[in-house]
Amino acid sequence: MDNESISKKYEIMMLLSPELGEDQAKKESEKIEKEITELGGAVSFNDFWGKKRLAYPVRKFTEGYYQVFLFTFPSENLKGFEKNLKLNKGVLRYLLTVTPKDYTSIYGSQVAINEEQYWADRKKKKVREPMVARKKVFVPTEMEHESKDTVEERAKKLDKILSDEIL
Amino acid sequence: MKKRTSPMKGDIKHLDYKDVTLLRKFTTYFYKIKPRYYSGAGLRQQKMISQAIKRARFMALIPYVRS
Repeated sequence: MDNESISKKYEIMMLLSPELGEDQAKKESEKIEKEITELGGAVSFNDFWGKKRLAYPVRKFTEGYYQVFLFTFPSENLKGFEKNLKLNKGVLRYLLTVTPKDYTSIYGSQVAINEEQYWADRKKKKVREPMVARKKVFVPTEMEHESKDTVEERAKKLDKILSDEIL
Repeated sequence: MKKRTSPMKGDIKHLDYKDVTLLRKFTTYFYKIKPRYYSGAGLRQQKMISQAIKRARFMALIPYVRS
């Protein structure tokens, strides 16, 4: 095999069963991390999200522990690794993706969607100013200036203009 | 629904499926993927968006359907 030494960068996200409990879930993810290194990979990023509410029930569980690894792995060992994951009863689901160049993962603490908050914010944005306020009122600036002049000043100006014309 | 300019600015080469708050902008009230003529995304962007949303759905970060 010529391609034996090729190792790609992968990211794996695992959904661990809530039945394990926090400590056990951490142990489980440590086990998997060990397995990666044993099979010739190297973990570069490790993020345990902790317990999170699921968007929909998975195998009748409404909560689960998330674990994210970024790692390099020899591609020929990948099938065996995936098989082990599938057999692992603690892992409800996993998502293995090939990462692009210069990839940095988002931390679990940044991942949060509060649905109620989202819609509250959207409603706030939708409140518009009343139409009257948005209408541009035409302000004749020059006229205003003239109106500010007193009657006497006007008369003076008129006189000037008239005298100029006569001259 | 109004056509909007895409919330993804600049030339973004990758969209992370974990970025749920950003993905939420590309889904409707019922969590359907917004079509291109609403989201304002380009073809390449839209492909990344749909891929990311589908991944997030699988990992139960986003529901498939509002229940």
